Formats: sequence, C-alpha cells, structure tokens
Amino acid sequence: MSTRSLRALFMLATPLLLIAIWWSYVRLFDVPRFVLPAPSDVWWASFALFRDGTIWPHLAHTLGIIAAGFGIGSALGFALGFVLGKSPRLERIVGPYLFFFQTAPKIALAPLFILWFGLGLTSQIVLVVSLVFFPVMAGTILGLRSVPVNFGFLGDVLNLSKRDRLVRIELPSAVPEIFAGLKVGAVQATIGAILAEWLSGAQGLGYLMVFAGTTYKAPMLFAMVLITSLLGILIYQTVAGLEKWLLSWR
Amino acid sequence: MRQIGVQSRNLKQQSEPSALVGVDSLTKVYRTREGSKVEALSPVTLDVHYGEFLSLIGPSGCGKSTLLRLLAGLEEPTDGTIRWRDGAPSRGTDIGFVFQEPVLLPWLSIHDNVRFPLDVFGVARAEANARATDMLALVGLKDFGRALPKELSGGMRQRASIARALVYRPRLVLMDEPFGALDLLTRDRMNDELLRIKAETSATVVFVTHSIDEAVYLSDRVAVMSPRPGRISALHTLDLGSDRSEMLKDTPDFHRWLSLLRRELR
Repeated sequence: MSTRSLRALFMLATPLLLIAIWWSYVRLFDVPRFVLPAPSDVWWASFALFRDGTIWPHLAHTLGIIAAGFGIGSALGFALGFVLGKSPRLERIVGPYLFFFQTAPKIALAPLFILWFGLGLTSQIVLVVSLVFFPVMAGTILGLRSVPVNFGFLGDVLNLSKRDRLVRIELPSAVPEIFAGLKVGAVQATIGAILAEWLSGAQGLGYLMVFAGTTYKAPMLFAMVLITSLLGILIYQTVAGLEKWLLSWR
Repeated sequence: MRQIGVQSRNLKQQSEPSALVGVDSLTKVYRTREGSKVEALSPVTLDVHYGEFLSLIGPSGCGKSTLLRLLAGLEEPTDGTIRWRDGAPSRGTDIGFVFQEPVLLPWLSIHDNVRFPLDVFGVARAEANARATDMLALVGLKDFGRALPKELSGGMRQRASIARALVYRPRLVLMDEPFGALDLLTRDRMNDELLRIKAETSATVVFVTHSIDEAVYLSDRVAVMSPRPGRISALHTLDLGSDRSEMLKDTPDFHRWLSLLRRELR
C-alpha cells in the first residue's frame, strides 16, 4: 500500500477509533448524559440545531462580528504596520506601548470594552479588532523590513520613484509576512467573536454555548464545540486558500 | 591633490576619441562611523571605449565595485569627474547593471522580470512584451518566459538578469562579478554566452571579476587594480583578436596573458 493511501486510512481510522472509545466509555460506565453525552447524542443535537433552524441567526451573527472585526482589524493593522514599518524611529517610540497592549490578556480587556462600548455589537467588534490588529500589524512591519537589500539596489539602478518602489517591489515582497499575520488574525477573530458573545451577547454561537451550558444541555454544548471548531477551521482555510492562490510563486 | 596632477598627465595620453565615458581623477573617500576616513578609490583615470569589453580585476577591497557604483551614478565621487561623450546619462535608462546575484523578483515570471524595467520606464505594453521576448530568445531562455525564477537553475537565472539589464538598450552595461556564484562549468558556458550576447548587441561592457581566466577570455582590455587605496596599477589591451572560443584557452598567447596578470596581481 502506498504511503498516501495509508495516510488516508489513518486519517479516517483515527477519528473513528476515538469516537468508538468515547462511545464504549459512556456505555460501559453508564456516564450520565449531562456529564458526557454519547457521540450519537451529540450528532443528533447538532442535526437538530440545523434542522429546526435555531442555529442560523446565531451563526449569521457570529460570522458578521468576525467579518467586521477581521476587516477593520486587518485594515488598521496594515495601516499602522505600514507607517511603523516605514519609520523605524516612530516604531521605537510607539512600539513598547503596542507591545504592552498586546501582552495584556484580551479577556482582561473585554470587561473594559463592555464598560466603554456597552453590551451590544460595538464592544464585541472592538474586542475582535483588538485581537486581529496586532498580528497583522506585526506581519506588515516584518514584511516591509525584510525586503531583500538586493531589491533596493535594483530599485537604485533603475532609479525607481518612491511610489514604484513601494508598489512594484516592497509591497509584493511583504505579502508573505502580511498573510502570516492575517492567518493568525483569522483564528484570533473566531476566538474573539465567540468570547465576546459569551461575555455580553444575547445572540451568536458564544451566547448559544452559554445557554446550553447553563441549562445543562450537554449534547447541545458538545455540538456547539464541534460547530465552532469547524467554523474556525473553515475561516482559517479560507484565508490560507487565498494565500496559496496569491502566493503561488513561492 | 599632488597625486591627481600626476594622473592627469596620464589622462592626456589615454584619451581617445572613441571614449564613451571618461573617468578623470576619480576619488572616493568613505567616512567610518568613528569619523576616520577610508580611501576606497585614490585618483583613478580611465576611459571606456565604445563597444569594448573592459574588465576590472583585482583582489577584494581594491575599489572595483566602488568604481562601478560611481559609473552607475549610485554614489557621488568625493573628487574628480565622469564625462560622458553624449551628455550625462539619465539614471535608470542609460545604465544596465548585473549583480553577482540574479536579483529577480520571485513573484514575477521570467518574462515579466525581463520586462520589468520597460514597465517602469513607461514603454507601451505591446512593445515591452515584444522586446522582452526577443531578449529572452537572445539569452537562450525562449521557452522559459512563463517559468518562475525559482524553477530555473542558477545559470539560467543569471541569464535572465543579463536580459533584464540589456532589454532597455543601456549605453553602458556594468557587471559586478556576475558569474562569481556559479560553478566552474556553468561559468565557462556563461562566458561563451556572454561573448555571443555582447557580439549581437554590440553593448559596451565594464566587467568586474577576480578571475584572471575570465578576464583574459572575455576582455578587449583589462585594468588591473590594487588595494589600499584602490587604484589602477596597469591597463592592458589584449591582442587576442575578436574571435574567442574554448580553443583560445590552449594558445600560448592566452597563457602569456594569464601569467603576466597573475604576476601583476601578486
């Protein structure tokens, strides 16, 4: 058997095996449903969420926050990263504060955002923006700083204008690092959106999880974990796919 | 300043009507961060003739690259002048520069890399495409225009970079050890390619190398440079004819020049 088909077999067999262990554990030890539901219960709970349409408005809400937060956060991160990447002096002044802001755990900032921006959409989007912003900024700075010196010489020889240099050499050259930032940002955006809804929402996947947890609907809670994980993977893969398409030259 | 006076007298003997560019008593002094001065180029006087292949040869630190950068207008001389016969070159369009590394933009195809200068200089797209295609054929990369730089070997990448330096028909092509990073066999092949390309474009080339073989094989004239401070210690016109091929390397004349230059560089 070739390595490839062997790998495919493992990829299929491993989750099936895990589900089998899970299922036997629940059956053999007669674990109560509200502590650990059987795989079948989780499956049916997920199915029910989609069949009766409960999930759609929540999913739409979460996706909206992710999209808005990721969009605004990336734009701000790119803009500031561009300014700082082009001006090392400014970066030396502003850098430490940004670094401090980044190291502060966002979950500690979340209540502050709620205090400032209320319990609504704004504070949720602000939280996502605060999470997306930094990795994109860091990626942009790194990308602009790591343009090969030789490309600068080429620009000198061809006597490129500042604008040509930027558009034709520096920005394309920085795209890989910017995308590395965007990928981290995309994952952070998903976590941030669910965290924000968890804390302050009356809607969204995060809220649905809180609801399932506080009402002891363990199968539904497990279903939500599954769905949010899949959502995270999907969003990451979308950005990664975009990267692969844009950076096919690598 | 006294030194410059001595060199100027030499200039009068050297100046010929066929000079494309005349370098007169050129000096370059760098200041280190501690404030001390480093003389990279003590007065250098040299003419570059139309259509010639001139090699600058010498050990590291003899100012070969500095002289090249001054000719390219990338740096200002501390003293002395560079006179162009047909008026000062406009930076960019008049000078072709080939680096030791190919310096191709990895996100552009080989064709687009060669077309890159034409795009920057605002040449119409159709003409730019045609010229890039012609130039790729000239350097033997006709079938590789759509390839990405990473898909080509080191020698092929360097050919593309030569094509990029020639595509806008510069008045002077400067090459800074373009084959220094290649293995010996590829290097030999690239030397033959370069001779052929040079013959077909009748470009004027100033070529920096520290390989004596390469300098003798390629050049019409060889300027020997010595370090600290960098200056031209000898200038030779090689009497090896214009028909260069592998066979030349077995002739006594070729070896005479090799041993002469080797002695001078010692």
